[in-house]
Amino acid sequence: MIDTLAGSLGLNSYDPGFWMPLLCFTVFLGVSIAGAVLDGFDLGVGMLMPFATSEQRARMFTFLGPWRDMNVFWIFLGCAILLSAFPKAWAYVSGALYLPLMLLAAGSLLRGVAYEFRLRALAGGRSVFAAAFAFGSLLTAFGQGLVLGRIAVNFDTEPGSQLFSVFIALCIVATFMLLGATWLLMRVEDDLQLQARGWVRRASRLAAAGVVAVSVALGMVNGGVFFKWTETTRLPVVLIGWFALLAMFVLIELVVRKVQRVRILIWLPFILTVLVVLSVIAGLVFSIFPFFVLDELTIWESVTGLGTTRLLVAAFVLFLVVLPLVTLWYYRDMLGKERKAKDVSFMKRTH
Amino acid sequence: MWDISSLQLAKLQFFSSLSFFSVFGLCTVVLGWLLVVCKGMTHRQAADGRWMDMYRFWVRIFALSMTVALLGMVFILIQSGALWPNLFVRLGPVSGPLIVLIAAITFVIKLFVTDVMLYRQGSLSSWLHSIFVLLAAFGLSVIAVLLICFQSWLHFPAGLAPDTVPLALVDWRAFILQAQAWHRVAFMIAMACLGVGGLMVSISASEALTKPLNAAEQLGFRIGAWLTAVGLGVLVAGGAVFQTELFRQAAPLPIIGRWAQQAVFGLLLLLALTSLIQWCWYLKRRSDFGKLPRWVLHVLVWAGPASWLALWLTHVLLSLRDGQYFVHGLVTYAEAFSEQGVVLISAVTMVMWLLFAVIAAGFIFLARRAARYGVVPVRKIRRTA
Repeated sequence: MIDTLAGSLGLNSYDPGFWMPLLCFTVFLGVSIAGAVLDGFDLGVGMLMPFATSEQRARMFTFLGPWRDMNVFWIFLGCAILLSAFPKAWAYVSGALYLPLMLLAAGSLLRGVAYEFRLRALAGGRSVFAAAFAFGSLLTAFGQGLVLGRIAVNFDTEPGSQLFSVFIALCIVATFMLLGATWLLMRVEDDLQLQARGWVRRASRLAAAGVVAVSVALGMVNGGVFFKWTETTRLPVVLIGWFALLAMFVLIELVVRKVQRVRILIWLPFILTVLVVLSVIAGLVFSIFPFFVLDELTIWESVTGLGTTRLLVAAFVLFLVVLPLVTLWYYRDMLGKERKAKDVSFMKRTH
Repeated sequence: MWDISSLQLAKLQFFSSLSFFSVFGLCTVVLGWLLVVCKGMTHRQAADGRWMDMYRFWVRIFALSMTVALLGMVFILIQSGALWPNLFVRLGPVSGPLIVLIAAITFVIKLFVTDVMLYRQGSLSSWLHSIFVLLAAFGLSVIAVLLICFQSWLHFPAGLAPDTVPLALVDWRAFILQAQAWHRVAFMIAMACLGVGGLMVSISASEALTKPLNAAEQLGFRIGAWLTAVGLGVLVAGGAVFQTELFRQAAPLPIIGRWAQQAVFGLLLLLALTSLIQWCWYLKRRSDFGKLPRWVLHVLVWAGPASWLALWLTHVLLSLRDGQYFVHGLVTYAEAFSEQGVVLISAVTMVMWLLFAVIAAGFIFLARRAARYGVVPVRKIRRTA
């Protein structure tokens, strides 16, 4: 298959001009997936904070502490790879994505700063920074959703398409909330777990609507994508994938109902939600590949030049070794149960 | 008077945010070297606990400043891509490797080195811990120098292969070793010394207003006063701020440019005056700074915000000096710009400035809180079974 693809581009699969951009794209994809999942539940927990009591909120903040430093990096690395390796693709789409990208930038800045400031603030200032953290999380998720929405409608600027992008953005917000809620469900017990169950059930419905909407829009707006999905050899696989995706949402709903009685199921909603996110990303890549910008720029046309790509590949090879190890180290306790401990603060509580 | 195009607004938006985060970045570098000095003096004078106390206090401020600078880097990366997408198409071979190198160094410093600086003081040998502090300061300096060289190179592009699209840099030495870049580095170090000095004086004055200063706090006050004086001295002696060359075609909007220039001048004059009063009093009384008259302490509390504001405005003016070109003589702003409406850019700029004001206010607020209540060592808690 790789030889066929290389041949269609007039290249040999051993040619650096073929595999180097592909490697850069793979690294970008890896970072995007890691960001969507690992930063995703963080975003979700952040957005759920306004619905929690102040005591629950303090606990939720403490949960996010261990990987805070690492989570700052996913967007940073993603943008760095995109700007350095695929500047043409970036130039092509970013004009149409100014507002979503600025929302994303402002949101990630606000939530990062608010988290750090809250750690150092006294009791009075904490609620203000907690609200800023939640708002920053919402902006970040909404910005990411708008980016996806704009891609799904092929950057169409008609009012209907714009509204549809907003709808998809809301669904993405719900998906991140679902990720956060299922993660909390797995980590905590007591009243917070009860609350998380409610959040999961509400968020899962909107997330499911979003997944369906993105898929339908992507297929309907872009003839090439529709053809790719409905091609006779691929259709059974695509249909199975579709049913599996919808089954996952149904399963999440069912498991959440039984979770109090069957404790072993407690991990399942989170794993299923991660699978949903992975399936959506895989579906998107399958639909678009080998294009970076659908029907306009392929991955190979988006790179900046072989000389630069060579330098980048050398850096990425180092990253490929280091990044998974660092990620495993930082997130080693991600799936563990909560242990009661005091909240972290830099400041002496003198009043 | 206010007939502004979307391109002018985009320049103002981009360079104001770039400058805002540069202030945090530059001050983090100087704070990093201050921590190296603290650790070095701890090794030299083991019996003198003042340096270690100073380290423990200022490492927290350093960590906070570094986090803001890092988050700002993410913001700038996204913003530069959104506002100037075509710049990266033209500059890919120059900016690409730089972005990756800076990302890699930042990654290592933030995830490994600062972690050790903050949490592993007790579990590592003192020398090893000091090496990590040195690594952080060195790594941050490399990032700052690379970014300053890049910004300077945009104004004086050199080492390029002729007539290539995208621009291909064939001589990286010309990029790093250009004289203008190192003038700029020296100027920025002086400004950053002023910024950190102002911050230290401000926090120490806040402390002195609430309680008698201990030995470490007095030392911090004195170092802050020295840094402020050195920063101001270098700026005045070099005449950099007052050179018309520095502010040549300074602003996209002449009125804002003139206003910013006068504001910088006024702020520096005020800082010089307060620094002079402070030193005159010190030389006359031969007493510690904590015993300055209360009204002087109240004035000094504002030295930090004033110096940071001066630093920010100077950076904005310096960034905007080349009116038409992003890369001098090669790429214009208009070529690099992604066309956006005036209303949209204005709205985003306003929201962005509001956000920056909140961040600046939060930083000052927390620094003053730290001055009042002190900072305690942090344990890294992992809430798992």
